[in-house]
Amino acid sequence: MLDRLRSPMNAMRGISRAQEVIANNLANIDTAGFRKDRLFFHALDQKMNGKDIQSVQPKQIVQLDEGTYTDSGNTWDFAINGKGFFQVEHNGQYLLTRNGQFNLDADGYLIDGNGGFVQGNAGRIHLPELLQFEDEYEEVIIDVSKDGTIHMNDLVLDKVAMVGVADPNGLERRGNSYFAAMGTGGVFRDNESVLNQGFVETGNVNTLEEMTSMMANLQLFESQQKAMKTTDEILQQVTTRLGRFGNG
Amino acid sequence: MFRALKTAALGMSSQQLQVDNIANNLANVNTTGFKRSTIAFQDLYYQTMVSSKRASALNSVNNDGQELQIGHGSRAVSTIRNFTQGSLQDTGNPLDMAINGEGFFQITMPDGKIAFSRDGNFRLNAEGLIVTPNGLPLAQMIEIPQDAVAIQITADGIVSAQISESPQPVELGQIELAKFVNPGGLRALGDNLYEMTEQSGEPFIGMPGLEGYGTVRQSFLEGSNVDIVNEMVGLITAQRSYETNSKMVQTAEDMMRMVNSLKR
Repeated sequence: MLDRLRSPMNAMRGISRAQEVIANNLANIDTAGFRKDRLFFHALDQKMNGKDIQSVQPKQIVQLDEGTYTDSGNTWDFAINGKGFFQVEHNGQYLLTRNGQFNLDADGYLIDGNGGFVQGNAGRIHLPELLQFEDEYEEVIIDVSKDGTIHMNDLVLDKVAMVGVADPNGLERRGNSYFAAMGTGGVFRDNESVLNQGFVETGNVNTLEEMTSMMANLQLFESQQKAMKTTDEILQQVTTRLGRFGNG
Repeated sequence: MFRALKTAALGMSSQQLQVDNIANNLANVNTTGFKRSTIAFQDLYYQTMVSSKRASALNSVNNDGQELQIGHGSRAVSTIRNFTQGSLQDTGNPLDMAINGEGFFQITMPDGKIAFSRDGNFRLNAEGLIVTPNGLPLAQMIEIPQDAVAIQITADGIVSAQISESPQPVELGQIELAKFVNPGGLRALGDNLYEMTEQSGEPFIGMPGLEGYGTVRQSFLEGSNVDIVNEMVGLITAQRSYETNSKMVQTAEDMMRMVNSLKR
């Protein structure tokens, strides 16, 4: 009988997790480069120590479809069209991000919003050319081409690295729009993705989808709760009636 | 469920900031040289969890189980200013100037530092200096003589005045413009002024008319670059997103109520 209480309990816990994932997706509607999560449940039916064990396991998948692109007009805003990621060195770790709102720091390094160093052809992108100019009246136009090559007037400075992930299921979230490639194969140089200068990629959260799953989850939660209550009522009947019969 | 509640509340406050920012853009729709801003958001840290001990045991048998990462919402990290050109309006005032291009006027602050502005609404102070409406002088300290009858400013920023006695206009100075590699990194000081930051980098100084700096147009003012339609669409989206997040709060609350009603 206690199993009958436990299985709706597990289900309710799983649904709560799903709702938390939806809450996080919704809270990040306006986060640039955000990738939504989806929680799936799969039923497991296994034999352990000769006993049949049934359980439902949640499984999380980062949805990598693209967001929408908005024109920002800023020199250091990049948006990737394709499956690639920017590579950023943050606190000694090499992380991935789709958020291309970059800036130049005081030492001429290209950094992201968290102070992480954007990676180029050979490590950090360093553009001291933009800080030390002999002729004050020199005209400077920064142009970043579709493949990530940074041009200053006619000079090629560096190339923004775009990397693909060999195992998208192995992406681990690190907050601040970062991902870490924990799967097998790591990352590889992505030559197919296209970089757009002056654009920001918004998140890929679809409100309609999220609301629908949120409502569906609520219904499921309620039915599990009813199941639990019913079990509870049966248990009560059993204890009171059987007790009366025993005393009878 | 408390996590979903808090996450959704953070989502709501993010949208609230979004609305605040749009309100500021809309309030400055007629501010000379105003540049609209947007807010950049980021997701918060993720908590890694395994549903239960038994599950992890099962997962190790199954070996396709994946740990869950539950996020904690979003937060605003920075404001990003958009420096696209605003429309130019004819005012007829000889000391009004608009920059058609990417440059900035340099204004001397009371503490001697240089601030940057797109607002070309200038006037003369008691000493005849060209100053902003708040009395801060242009960095080039151009002084117009008291007996000047007409002021002329060319496209490359040369200010000259027609003095009553002499038939030839007298050249008084040249306005220089500043330009930034990353103007988006400038910090707004209010009063249409910006200061340089590490992100914006050091300014390049150049004469108006050089490529990229833009030209000066006398008797024109640059309107704000706020696009009302765009902002209204943003406002609608923000309001709806706020609503969506509030529904999440409601749903989390519903679920908590259901849990509480389990016990008779």
